[in-house]
Amino acid sequence: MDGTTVGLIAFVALIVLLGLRVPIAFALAGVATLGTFAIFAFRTGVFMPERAIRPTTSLVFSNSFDLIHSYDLSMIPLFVALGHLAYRAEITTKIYHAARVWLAAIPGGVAMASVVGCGGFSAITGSSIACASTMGQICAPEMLRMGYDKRLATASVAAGGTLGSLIPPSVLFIIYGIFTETSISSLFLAGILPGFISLLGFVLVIWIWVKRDPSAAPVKDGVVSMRERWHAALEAWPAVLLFVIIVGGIYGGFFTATEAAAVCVSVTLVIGFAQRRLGVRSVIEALRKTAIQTTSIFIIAASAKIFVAFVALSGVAGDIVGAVQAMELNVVMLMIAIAAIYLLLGMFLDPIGIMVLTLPLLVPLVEGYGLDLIWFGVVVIKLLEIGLITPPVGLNVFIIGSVVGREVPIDRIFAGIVRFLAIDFIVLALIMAFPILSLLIPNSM
Amino acid sequence: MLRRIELLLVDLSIFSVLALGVLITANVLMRALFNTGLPDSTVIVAELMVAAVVLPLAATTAKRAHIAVEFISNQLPPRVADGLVVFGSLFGLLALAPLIWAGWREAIDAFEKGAFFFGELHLPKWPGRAIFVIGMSFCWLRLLVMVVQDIRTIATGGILPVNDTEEEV
Repeated sequence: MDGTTVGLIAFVALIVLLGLRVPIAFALAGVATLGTFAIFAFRTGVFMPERAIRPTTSLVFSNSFDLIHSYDLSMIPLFVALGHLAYRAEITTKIYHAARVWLAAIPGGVAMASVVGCGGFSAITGSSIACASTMGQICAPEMLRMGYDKRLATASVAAGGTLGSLIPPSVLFIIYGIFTETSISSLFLAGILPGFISLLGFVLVIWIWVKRDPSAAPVKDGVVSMRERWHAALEAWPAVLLFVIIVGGIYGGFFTATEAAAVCVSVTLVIGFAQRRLGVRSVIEALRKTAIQTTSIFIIAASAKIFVAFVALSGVAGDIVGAVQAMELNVVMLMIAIAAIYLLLGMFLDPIGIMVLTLPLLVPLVEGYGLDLIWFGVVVIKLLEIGLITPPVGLNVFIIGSVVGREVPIDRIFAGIVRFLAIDFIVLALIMAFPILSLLIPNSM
Repeated sequence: MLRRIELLLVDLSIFSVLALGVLITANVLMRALFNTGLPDSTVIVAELMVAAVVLPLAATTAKRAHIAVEFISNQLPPRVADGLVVFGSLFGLLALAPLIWAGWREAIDAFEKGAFFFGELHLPKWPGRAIFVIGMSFCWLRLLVMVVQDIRTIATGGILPVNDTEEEV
């Protein structure tokens, strides 16, 4: 049995196991270990298992351990901790409150504030699901209480939550960076403009929605004094400071992304204790959640690293790249095909699952076409974000659904999502057509 | 007993996250103020990372917090879906076993040969590898306990609990 055959069997086995609800990490590690064992055992053409044990276990251990034993990747637990600590220190919610006060008089202002709040939340934490979950609990019930159209009240937060992966810091960018061995700092910077354009796009959708149907967003508390507005804006200074440290520090060359994460955690602890919003108990609670969340991310990343090594050993990636290149697809057709695959998978799988399944094959293919991996990373993350709000398994939609309960059925939320999806596709087309949107900031470093 | 050990391992992980945050921040400050850095901080942070990431594995498993694709299993009858959960845990036992064995061999090898990292402090290589084996082994043990308990629950007509992770921030 040759490497390509083993590789193809392994891919099919992996898809079957994922469908059977085997945890992603176990499926990846198990399939990769068995596949590697098979390749080594059949290396001489005759099945010799005794010759396969040692090289298989060495490959499996070194790939998983080296990934975890990493200075650079300490940014993942640190950014996850930052999110939990900033939430408990009430730093992440202050941006929403400020936007809420400033936009109160505008029709649809609370929905717009929700999207802006999601953007602000995303600038400190790195997860779309976390963003939708936290902001959903604050914004959606408030809009429903104010008599907002149920579709607008829920869909705006579900869509806004997707900004969490594009606006730095982003756990998905970090995982993409691990797979593709691209600069995570550059990926963070590349996500800023597309993230900001997406945010503006969502605000535009709300503005048009309310312009055409004013009853969708009644204005109830329109009178807010300038004093109150400035007070609310000033209250949001810790969030602004953290964002400046992350983006300014990386862009200015003062920090690496890892150092920015550590400094932000330290600053958040100082601010939280100084403002008496953090105590020892809340810090421990935040770090316990950090530990569990980090582990569930890393065990997948470590298993995926083993799988990537197995794919390289099998040579199946090279064969698939060769087969695609033989089809003589042009770049546009290739990107359309990749987008279609991601959108299809996004309907059923979670973002990390999609990345570990596709990147080992797609990265060599994209490199073969001479495309920029930083730009491709932004495209991939945007596609994964779209997957978070497409039926039938739009994770963000289900999170908002669980927040609002029976008051708004899931199909009503999906009905509202359609308009946000339309703008998402326009932004995706812009990112794909104009790589400069992604590469302008990292290239100007 | 196993639950207590898992909590202890999570607390050690918390300490590691805090320690690596403090270490990196101190390094940044020392570089900015004195144009110097802590010796071998890169190696120390990497060793702390192993503790931060691997030690909570058993607790993560106990919370059923491993990420899985649930789209298909959610469409199935509860008993079939529960059977798939047990199958997933059994597959986990199979997948982790080579990692534990290889990790054990590497840790012993690094200890016996006195392997160390190049740097000012000549830090030994075995602690990170030993922590890796400890974290993975307790995860394996927790999976085994869960398989036995889940099979008993299904056999007595019960329904398995869903994961009990709270909101992710």
